[in-house]
Amino acid sequence: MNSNKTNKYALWDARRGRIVTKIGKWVGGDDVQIRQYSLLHDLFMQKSYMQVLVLNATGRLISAELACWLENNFMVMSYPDARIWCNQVGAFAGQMQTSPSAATAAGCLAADSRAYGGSLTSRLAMQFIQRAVQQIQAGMTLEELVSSVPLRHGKPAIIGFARPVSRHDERIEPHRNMTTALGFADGPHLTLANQLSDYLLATYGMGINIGGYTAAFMSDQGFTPDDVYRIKNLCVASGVTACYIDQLQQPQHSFLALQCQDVRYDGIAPRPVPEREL
Amino acid sequence: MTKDFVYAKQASTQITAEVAAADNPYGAVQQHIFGYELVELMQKRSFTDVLYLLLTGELPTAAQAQLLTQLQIALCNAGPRHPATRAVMTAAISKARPEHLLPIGLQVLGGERQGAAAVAEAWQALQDCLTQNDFQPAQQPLPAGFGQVYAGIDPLQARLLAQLSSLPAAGPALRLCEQLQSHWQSLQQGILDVGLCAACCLDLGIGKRESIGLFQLLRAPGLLAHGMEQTHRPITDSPLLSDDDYEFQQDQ
Repeated sequence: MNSNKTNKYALWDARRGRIVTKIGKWVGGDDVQIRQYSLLHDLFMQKSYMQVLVLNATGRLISAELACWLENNFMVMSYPDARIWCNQVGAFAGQMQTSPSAATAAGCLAADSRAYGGSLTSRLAMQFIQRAVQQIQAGMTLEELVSSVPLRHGKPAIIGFARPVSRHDERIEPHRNMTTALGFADGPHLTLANQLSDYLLATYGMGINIGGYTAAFMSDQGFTPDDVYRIKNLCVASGVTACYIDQLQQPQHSFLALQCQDVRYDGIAPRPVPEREL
Repeated sequence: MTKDFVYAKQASTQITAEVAAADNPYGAVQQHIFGYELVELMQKRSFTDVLYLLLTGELPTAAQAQLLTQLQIALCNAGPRHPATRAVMTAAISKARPEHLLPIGLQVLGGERQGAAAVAEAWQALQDCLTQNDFQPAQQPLPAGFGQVYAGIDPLQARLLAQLSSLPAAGPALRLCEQLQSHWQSLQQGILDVGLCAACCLDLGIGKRESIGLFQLLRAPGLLAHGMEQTHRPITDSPLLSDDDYEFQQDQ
């Protein structure tokens, strides 16, 4: 092999049988390093699980107050109600008596959705609100901002400002109270989100939802959309597990039982199968 | 619920009709797939034909079935160095429950970097090229579905492209890929597995989103086989790096 080829493959050659990382290291029998912190000496019994979760997801060791905010935010992202799509997946997993890991992982995958769930939707909502703040700062009016968004069912399709089930979001007021109680002030993103919510409520009867509020708050805290996608990727897990447990010992096929006729068939009428062409 | 509640009262499908038993509305005695009765399909058609039926709503011609069959074989085994296969093998030898192995592989395979998510991107890029009048590869950036593997062309995919392009059902998308391959190879860029799958899907009339899942499905046999093989081996049969081979570059 000539020297050019050696250089061409140098990266991969250096990584054969070798891991190079900045995230941490387990030193067997002694300690674990997470980034620049010792797990056992800097974090264990001193920081919360949420602080370590965010550290692993982003490299940032956040304050106890912000971790408290996030933990409570997680709490309201995971209702034990099997009508919610990801939870329904958990319930079906319970019906099939899968392992709890399979059920919860399947539910979390289902919630990796552009319609709901708090992970991908957070990324999308943060992309919107961060871009919107820039547009408003550049001179765009609120009306112009809203009219630049495509309509769906006659209303602007702004992620974070309408729930799939269109009802008042019961989590907003408790979140506003929590934000104040923990000492956080509204930054430019939350300020704009509130103005937008007031405008959309008055014009279209749709206000901010928890995704929009979280996106604006986390933007004010300096997180990127990808950061929050990574932090919140399992935020629905608890409710999925609950719905899985609920169905584990229920009779087979009893969750939302369906007769053959209950799934409406919109397709082609019965027809003979043609023989294969030779 | 409010007047804005827009959800349907029942689920619907154009794919499957189930005929209930006379004495049990929950038990199906017959299943029709796009109008074709399941047992009759078993008697007259191949698995590949029915797979095509499920994804497009119609049975394939002989030429289409040949192209899909060869694509199935082309993609059936990503090999033991592919990240998805390695994920499955790692999970398997570390004694994960066997029923998790295939889902683990498919999830890892679902990535945006030369994974299943990239098939749709390639599908769209090729479609965009095909809709241009007088498309000239030299005047266009490298489309999604093409790129490098280990700093060069993926020579196996190039061979697979040549084979698939030679089939009667190869259409505009595979011909376009041959044109692109010819243009870009001097720059050490070539067709990727995701591009190959996307091109075949386009020529077979298989949709953009469907192409994502088809790629996962066609990659599944190799994932499954490599995983199951490892379940029969002790956990010590795979490497666990020593501290010397684990380089932690600590930020200050």
